[in-house]
This record gives sequence, C-alpha cells and structure tokens, in this order.
Amino acid sequence: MTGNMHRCAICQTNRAQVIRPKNGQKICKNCFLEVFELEVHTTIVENNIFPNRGERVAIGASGGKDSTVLAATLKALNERYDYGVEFVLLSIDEGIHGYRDDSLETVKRNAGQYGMDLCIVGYDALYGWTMDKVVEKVGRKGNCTYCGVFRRQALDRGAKRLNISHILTGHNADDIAETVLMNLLRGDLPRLGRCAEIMTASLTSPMRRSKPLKYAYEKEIVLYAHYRELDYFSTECVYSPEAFRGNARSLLKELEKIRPSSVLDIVRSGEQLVHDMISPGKLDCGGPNDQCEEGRGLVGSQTLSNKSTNSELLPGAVLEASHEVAHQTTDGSRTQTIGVCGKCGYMSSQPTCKACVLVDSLNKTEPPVEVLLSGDRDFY
Amino acid sequence: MEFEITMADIAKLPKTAAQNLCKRCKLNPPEITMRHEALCRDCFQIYIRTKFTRHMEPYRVKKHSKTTKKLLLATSLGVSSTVLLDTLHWHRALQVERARRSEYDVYVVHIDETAVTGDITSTTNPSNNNTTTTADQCLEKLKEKYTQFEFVKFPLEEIYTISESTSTIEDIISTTSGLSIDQTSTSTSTSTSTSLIKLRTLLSSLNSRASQIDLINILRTRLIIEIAKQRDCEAIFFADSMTKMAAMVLAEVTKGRGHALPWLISDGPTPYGPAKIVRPFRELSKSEIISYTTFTSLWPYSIISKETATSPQRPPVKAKNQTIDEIMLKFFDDVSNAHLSTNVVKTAAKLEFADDRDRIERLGLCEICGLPMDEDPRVRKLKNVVRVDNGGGAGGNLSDADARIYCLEPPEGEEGLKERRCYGCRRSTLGAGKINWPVNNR
Amino acid sequence: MSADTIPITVELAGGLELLFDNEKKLNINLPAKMNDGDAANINYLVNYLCVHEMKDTRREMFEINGTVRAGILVLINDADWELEGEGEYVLQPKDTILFVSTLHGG
Repeated sequence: MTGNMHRCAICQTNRAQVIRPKNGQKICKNCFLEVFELEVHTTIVENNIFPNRGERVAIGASGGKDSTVLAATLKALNERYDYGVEFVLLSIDEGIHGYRDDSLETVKRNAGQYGMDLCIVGYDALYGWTMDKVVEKVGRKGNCTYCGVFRRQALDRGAKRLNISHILTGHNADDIAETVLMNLLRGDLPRLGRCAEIMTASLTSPMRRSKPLKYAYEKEIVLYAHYRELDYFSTECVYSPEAFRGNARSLLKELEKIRPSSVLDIVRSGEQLVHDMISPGKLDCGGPNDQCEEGRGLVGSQTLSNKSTNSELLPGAVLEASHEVAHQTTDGSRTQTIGVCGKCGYMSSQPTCKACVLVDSLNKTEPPVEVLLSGDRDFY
Repeated sequence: MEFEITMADIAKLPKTAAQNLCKRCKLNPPEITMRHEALCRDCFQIYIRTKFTRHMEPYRVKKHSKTTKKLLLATSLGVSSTVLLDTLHWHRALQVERARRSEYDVYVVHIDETAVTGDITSTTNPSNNNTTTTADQCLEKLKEKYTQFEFVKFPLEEIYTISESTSTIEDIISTTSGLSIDQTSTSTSTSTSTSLIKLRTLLSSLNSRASQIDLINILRTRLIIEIAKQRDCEAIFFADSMTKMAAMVLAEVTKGRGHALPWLISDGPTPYGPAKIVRPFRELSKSEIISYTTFTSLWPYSIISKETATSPQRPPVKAKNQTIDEIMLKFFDDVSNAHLSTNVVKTAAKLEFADDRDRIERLGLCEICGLPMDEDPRVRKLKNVVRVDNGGGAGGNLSDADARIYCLEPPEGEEGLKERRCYGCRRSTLGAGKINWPVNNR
Repeated sequence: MSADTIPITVELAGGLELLFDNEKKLNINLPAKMNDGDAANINYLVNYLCVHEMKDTRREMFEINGTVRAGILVLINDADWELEGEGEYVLQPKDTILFVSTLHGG
C-alpha cells in the first residue's frame, strides 16, 4: 500500500515499523523488541544492578506503562540471562478514588501475568490519611508535595516490610532528562548532581533505588508495551501534575522533534554532572533550611555507609559517598549524622521526619506547612 | 464605603507622591521598574555601569604599569554587543579623563558569517531586507562614533587560513575584507574562496541545521581566540547577557556537553590559549540591556532593529529546522521569568570538576570544540574507586558503552574518533564522514 | 457514494480514549477529500476527530497547531508515522490509525 516501504536495518528482511529516536535507525517490530530488551540488559550488567544472586528485589509498580514495561522486561531478562533474583511488585495505594483503585486492579492482574508476589501499602494505614482526605483538607494546590513525601517513605516501608533493600523504579530517559533541566531551572545544585544517577541511596532512606529503564525513551516504552500487548493503565492523576514540570516536559518534546537524540544527550550531560562535581566549598549550604537537605544528605549517606553493616549492598552509594568524604575533610565545616524521627522511628536527618511533619500539620487545624518536595518525581 | 477617605488614606498621600520618584535619587520620575525598584534612567544607567565595572577590576589604571593591555571585543553587532561597546567606551574615556591615560586599548572584531549562514539562517526576516542595516553600514557608524577603538571584520572562513598561517596580523587583515584596509581590494579573493568552499563543504556534510549552527558557533569562538592569540590580546570580551548564557547552558546540556559546562560559561582562562574570557554582562538580563539601548539611543548602532528585538515572537522557522540554541533562547523569551535564567547561570557557574586538570592531562582536548574531552561516566566512576572486582572484567565491557547505550557508534574506519572528539561534537558531526577541520589545539 | 468516503479504523490508547467517551476503537467513514480538494491525510483526520468524534471539550489534549500534540504517538498500520510522512500521510481505505499518548503517568 505504501510506496516507500523501508526494510529493517538490522534483519534486512522485514518491513521497518519503528524509527529509533537514539540513532534514527529504521527497524522492524521483532528487532525493536529484541534491541530494547538487550539495552535494558546492557544497562543492568554494566551498572552491576543485581550484584547478589538470590536477592529479592522490589519493583515499584503503579500499573502504568513504565512500571509495567519494567516488570515485563525484567521477567523476560531474568529468565533469559539468569540474574538469579526474585522480583516482588510493590504498590502504593494513595487512596485516590477513580485513579488508584482502578490502576491497582491492573497491578493485581500483572502480578498474575508475571508470576510475581504483590504487596500493597496504603497511605491510609501508614499515615491515617488518604490523598482524597488530604485534598479535602488542603485543597488541590500543593497536594502533590504530600503525595511525594508520603510515597517515598511508603515505598521504603513497604520494602522493609518485605525484608527487601533494593527497589527498582520505572524512571525512563525522558524523566531523567526532564529532571536535569528542571534542577537547572530551579537552581538545585545538589539534586542536579544526583538526578541522573542510575542507583541512589540517601540519608533518609535505607534503600538502594535503581532505574533500569534510565536509557529507554518514553516513546520506545509505549511502543514496547503496544507491540507486546501489555496490560497497563493510563489515566492522568485526578489531582493533576506539577505545572512547572509540564513546562520542562514540553521543552523536551520540542527538542526531541529537531534532534531526537537530545533526550539521551541530556541524560549523558546529567551523568557528567553527577560524579564529583560538587565541591562543598562552593556550595551555598550551611543554613538550616530545607533546601539544602539533599546536600547534607550526601554527606550523611557517607556517615550512613560507614557505619552501616550493609555497605557492600550499596555500591553506587558508597562510590558517591567516598568522594564526598574527601570533600568533606577539606571543608570540614558541616557534619550531619543520621538519626531517627522522634515520632515514627523512621530514618531522618531532622528530629521529626518530613512525613510526620506533614501528618502533624494535617492533624492540626493550622494551615499546612511549607515543605520542599524531596527528590525526583517518584511516580515509579 | 469605598469612597470614604480614611485616616490611613491621608497618611498614605505624601508617600504616594514619593513613590512617583526614582527610588534611588528621589529626584526624577522613574522610567523603569527593575527588580521591584522604580528607577529613573540616570540611576538605571548607573546600575548597569556598576554591574559592568565590577568585571573591570584587572583593567583599572595602575600607577606603574608600563604597557597598555590589549582587549578584544567580539561583536555580533547585536544589541548587547553595542551596549558593551558603549560601556567600554565610557569606561575608557573616564580613565583618560582622570589619569590622562588608559590601561587598555580595544580591538573590536566582527565575524562575518553571511557567506555561510545566508542560506541557513532563518531568524532574520528576508522581507525587510531593504530596511535593515547591513553589517558594513553598522560597522561604519560604530567606527565614526567610537573613534578610539579599532574595528576589524573577519569572514568566518578565515579560520581555514589563520591558524596555519605564520604570517603577521597585517597579512591576515589584508586577506580579509576588513574595514581597516581598502575595501575594493580583490587581490586575495581566490584564497578566500578556497576557504569558503572548504567551509561550505564541511557544513553541508552535517545532517541538520541544528548541527550546522552548532559548529558555526564553535568556529566563531575559535576564530576569535586565534585572532586574540595573534594580536596578543590578554582578554576577550563577550557581551552575553544572563538570558543568553542561560540559554547557552541549557543548549549545551542538550547537546551532550555537560562535561564542559564550567569551561563554556566561566570567565577566566580557557584551555585554548593565554587570553582570558570576560563576560561583563553576565548579571544583566536581556530586557535590561534592551532598556539601556533605548535610554541611551543606541538603536541605530545595532544591526537588530528595536522592533525585532522587542517583539516577543521571532519570525517562524520551520519547526523541524530550528536549532537547539534557538529553542532555548525562545524558551527564556517565553517564560520571561528572570529567576529561571539566574538559577541556570548561577547553578552552572558553581559546577566544578575536581578531576578537570587531571582529565585534560589524561584525555586531552576535543579536536572540534577544543574543550576538555569527556569520559564515559561509568569509566570515570570506576577509576575513582577501589573496586573489589571478582574478575567481572567490567572495564573491558565498558569501553564501548557509548555505542551500546547511547547508540553513538563510531563511523566505519574511524574507531579512534572517540578519543579525539567529545560526545557533543560526535553528535553534531554524526554521519559527516571524514571532515576537514580547520583548527587544531596546537 | 462510497467513493466520497474511505472506511478507516481509529484506535485510541494510553489515556486518549478518555477524550472519546472511553471508546478505544472507532470505525469511521472519512470524507476522501479535504476542503481544498486534496486527498485526506492524517492532519485532516485529526481535525475530523476533534469535530465529529471527541466528546471532551479539551481539544488541546489531542490537537495543537493542526496536528497531534507532541507526546502522542501515531502508528499507521502498526508502523511509526515518521516512516510514512507523519501528518501528510494520505489515508488509504481500511487503514488502521492508532493514537497513543505517552504523557500519562508511569
């Protein structure tokens, strides 16, 4: 029907159905699926994401495209390349009627389809508040802050309950690129230095977090889900995403149009900023405000890894930390040790953890406190 | 109720009157609101000049200095360039007035790219060609106004001859259509056109307008640096505003040059040579510079008309032919939030790579952009860690991660390219084959 | 009359179905020619869908500047529309056009 049929650049046989944004290669559906999986495998191997056989690893699962593709790919790769790890789906129930209850049904089906255990952790049980109730109280503006802080801890707590210390999230290349741009626009130097890391561990989380899809384009994830006919759920959160992020997102889409490799190129740039760029002497950090929390977090994670018994479980974090140690000794002015939250006993750099501060403000009749959203968007 | 005058209203009255005067001198009516402060044009001018003067510390008149420093001012003939010219002129005149001599001389260089950008630049609207000033007209006007400065125009293709030539600067000028010599001279037209053919061949081998403009930007910078070297200029002045620099940071990040960010935007020494880079307008926004141009009636001295500079939307470029640099400039135009550009520039300026020196020594400079080479992040990381590796052989696997993860395969027969060309330059020259690159890193 | 319209199948996924009253599949008879007399292309289809099929008022969730908004993936007979000329692709009888949003949460 179409006059100008392209042949697949890899197998040279089938009709090309996909243009790869990374390099403009025109390939067929089968070669695409193969190359997509191979790249995730390469990412896993080169970054040593699964260092220990026999380990149980959680996949943060929302029922959306990214986490569904992550689970499907990992199941296939684990069988093909024998990583020797066991995956568990870990879902958060934020308590958003008409959004999360539907998507959780998808996750439950996924658990059956991929033969993985499923654990659901509810905000309700953890904090005594569902997001529906939070929005009722604080309104729609700023509710994403609550959700973000709650979720970060919820994933950790869910994993802890399962006796798991490694969580995989579905962040894709577009997410990382967007976060790099956003952190520049926000002037957030400490986070800029970490957002492109494939593996992170921070002061306030005992967990290792990895992003095996970090080099996968959003477009390719959607294509993969489509060609593999994966069962995923897609609705915008009813409480709408952050406006600022939308801005960086549309910028990214515009860039992708003129040079499709841009997304990956930004990730690459971000990685160059990760390594050892921040010299604390140059950091305007030291005030007790929240903004610098991540900066202290780096130092703190060093403290954590030094006394932690499971430091060998944290290769990425230890690397990062060992550098900070060097800087720290030359600087010497700031030290921060990790403690536990006085309210909930959870790890925290402050006397009371962010989640508890937020819960307190909700439980009181006072207007809500301002807390800076920590970390990347944890939409897993 | 609304119309009742209360005591509070009365108390406000004299204050309100005061608010109608400039916040700083409290004498003149304000004409511009700047960072929440209403200023008159005189105080605004002082503000601009103060910001500028902070960068002129090394060029203050010194009692015992014997030689006059040579400064190169790079001008695009755009609004910021002209304001910088005007400000430098004021600064130097003040030195002469107060000390009867100046610490420096200014050598103004314009790089003429029209021979190659004529067909690929679509930001200028061809329909009002008859009303726009040409570069030559503009240079003539500037020459008449700023008689203390020396003006020279170099065609971009000069880069093919300047770096290999051992000739003196006078020879070089004579091969250009520079203003300082007889413009009718055509004796050197053949050598110029050979260079031009080389340049055009290079640009036409690139796969997009985005890549072409990227390399033109690099060539322009490198030509300016070569000129500074030959002319013994100790500093190169660029008129980049904060807005422009923010766009530049995001554009270079988008092109995959995150590793070179500190070198791209920091003032001071460069890896290429003795001349320092100075950007005295790095704290000023584009709109502040535009206001200054209006207050000081500098519009006739810029190649950009006031209408073009102040209209929010540039003439539409076919979406797919836009460049990364243009998209970023437009982004900062559209958001018109000065905080964002401040954030970007300040954050990028704080970046510091602890292993930079070491990296230059180990890896050298990129043959295209001349900035330090990058390294696969995983390789960098491994080098810095005492790794207990149980023979996984990760190092071997890592070597071609660029190809396997970033899909940046080296071209056929050019496997060593990765060692000579940084990631961003490999992207911009992707598919170009063997290219004839005019400059080298000495 | 069949010469005046062409039968095509439109599929909606990734959350776009919500704009079309939760319909994931539409069988439509598209006018074969656009207003200017040229054969109907994808951009024309996009506008047609906005006018005749969309149940949501937020047209900009689907169409911007005469074509699908960035972030929506278009597959023409299961192949990336970039291989087929994007919005300019001239529709053929029995084509299946899939619109899938990449923008919704992960």
